[in-house]
Amino acid sequence: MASSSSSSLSRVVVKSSDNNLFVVNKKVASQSQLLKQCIDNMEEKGTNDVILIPLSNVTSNILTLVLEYCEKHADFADDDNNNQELKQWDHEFLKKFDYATLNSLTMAADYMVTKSLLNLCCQFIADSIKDLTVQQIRQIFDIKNDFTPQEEADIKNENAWAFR
Amino acid sequence: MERAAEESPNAQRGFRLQAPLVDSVSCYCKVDASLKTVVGARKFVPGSKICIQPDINPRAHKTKNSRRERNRVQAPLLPGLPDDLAIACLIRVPRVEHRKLRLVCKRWHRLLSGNFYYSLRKNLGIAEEWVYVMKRDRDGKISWHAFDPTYQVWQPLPPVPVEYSEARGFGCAVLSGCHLYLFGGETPLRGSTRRVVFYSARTNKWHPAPSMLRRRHCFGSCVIDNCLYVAGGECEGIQQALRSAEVYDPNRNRWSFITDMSTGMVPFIGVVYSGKWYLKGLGSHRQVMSEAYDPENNTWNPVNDGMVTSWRNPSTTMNGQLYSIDCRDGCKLRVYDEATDSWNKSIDSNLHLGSSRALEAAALIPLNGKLCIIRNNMSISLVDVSSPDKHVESNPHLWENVGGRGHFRTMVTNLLSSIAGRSGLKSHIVHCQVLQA
Repeated sequence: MASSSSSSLSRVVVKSSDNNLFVVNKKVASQSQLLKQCIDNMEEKGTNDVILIPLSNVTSNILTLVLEYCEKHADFADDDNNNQELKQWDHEFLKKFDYATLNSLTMAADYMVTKSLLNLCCQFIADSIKDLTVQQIRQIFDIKNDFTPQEEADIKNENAWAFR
Repeated sequence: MERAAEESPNAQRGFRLQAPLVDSVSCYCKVDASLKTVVGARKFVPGSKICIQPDINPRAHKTKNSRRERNRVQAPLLPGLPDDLAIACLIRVPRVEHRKLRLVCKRWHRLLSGNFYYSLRKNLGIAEEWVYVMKRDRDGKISWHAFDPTYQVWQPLPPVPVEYSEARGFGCAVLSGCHLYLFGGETPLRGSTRRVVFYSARTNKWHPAPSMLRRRHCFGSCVIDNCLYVAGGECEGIQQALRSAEVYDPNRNRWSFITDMSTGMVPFIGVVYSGKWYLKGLGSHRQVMSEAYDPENNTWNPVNDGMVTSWRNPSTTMNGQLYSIDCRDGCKLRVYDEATDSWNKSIDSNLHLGSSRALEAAALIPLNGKLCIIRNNMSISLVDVSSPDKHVESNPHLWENVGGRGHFRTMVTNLLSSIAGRSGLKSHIVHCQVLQA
């Protein structure tokens, strides 16, 4: 996807919300559509300077994770997307995070328009919900049960009645 | 340089909107935290809706101010995540778990019973198809269950409305992919009926629908272009078979008559093939006859070709091909060949099961791109008819038994035997359909 522009750059600098700077290879940065768009915009203007992209919504520890993901996926960018090794890596990558980190990562992926990471995070959260009981879901995700006991019983019995 | 990138927040924002994961009515507008209400916003921007950022879908809030107000005070769907991302997570939970999700809290219950959630699943191509089997038990009562082919489990369903619990000769069809309609039929107490009800796989509830124009039972029905057609049949108190036919359009929510058939008929088999509705049945003088309805010209024409003469129940069309069961237990399929006007092609499992009533193939329906055969004992076979290799010797995956006895885990086997009845002899399947959600 290299731009044909004469002023194409190989690296960009990304700044996290807590003001840490990350030097990122352009191929890695292109995994994020937000960064890619910034780079493309700058290249259209024909600048030769190093581009600094501030991300006001992403802290440096989350940004590190996103960039780790982008780096791995940039390596496989030319391969088939269904690469088994990459899928395995994705799973191991997400497995180690707690729910709060996973949430921040999901939001960062959304903000930085890294669609594959966003899909991955959403699917991971969905899969973890799948294996939980109702009680566990309420506990882990801190959701208040706002049903009255009667309402809850009614929903449990919804297959007992035709019309209601 | 930093400034240059900061200068175009709208470019970034606009870009984010080009590839949205989900549609969402929630507002991303963080222009000023003090503008929390429409009233607050109007103080500063006369005539404004809530969202004052012009590049964000301006229609999203036009009539939904009340919903937005509600969102303000509501707890988030998943604490720690904005609602649009929480929804993106929740739509990916498999359908088999949806009943559980509805029990978590009121907001999840509302989300999991609404069109928004399911249309997102449909648009992302992750909606799942289940088989719905309606059967008459030994005591004459109608019961029904859903089968999830992915997890291979049977699911309980809310019972059919009482008017249909002992009905005979009623129709069953699916409109819009997720609504299962029951219509017409006769009951011992009330005779023939015009009544129509439908079950929504989204709400998991039965709902009333407009009645047909004419009372009838033992009629034919089909769906073309998401419109439900019924024709012929009988009506209590009328000696002759009915000629009349009608159509229901769910978008207009009403029935209207179409052209009458050339003669009255009590159909026993029907299928939609190459845009026409073929019906074969008994005429008023008990003679076998066939007609085809062309919805484009609203005309009926008698047919006597090779297709109808050796046409057998059950049959169905998938990807433009017409299939029917060849052996009673559904161990063999026949394919109609238009060029030679004959049913000369077949797909064979090479495994004859037997010819008892329990093993009789009661339905043939397309499911997830395969043909699904359902037998009276609730065993299910999937045939990959689109596979180029149609010989089971060289292609062992051609014919797959997913719901057969012995293929189940113990828990399911128990459920299965209680559904099918111990002997499975007298209970039999009356309708099978596929619903998506």
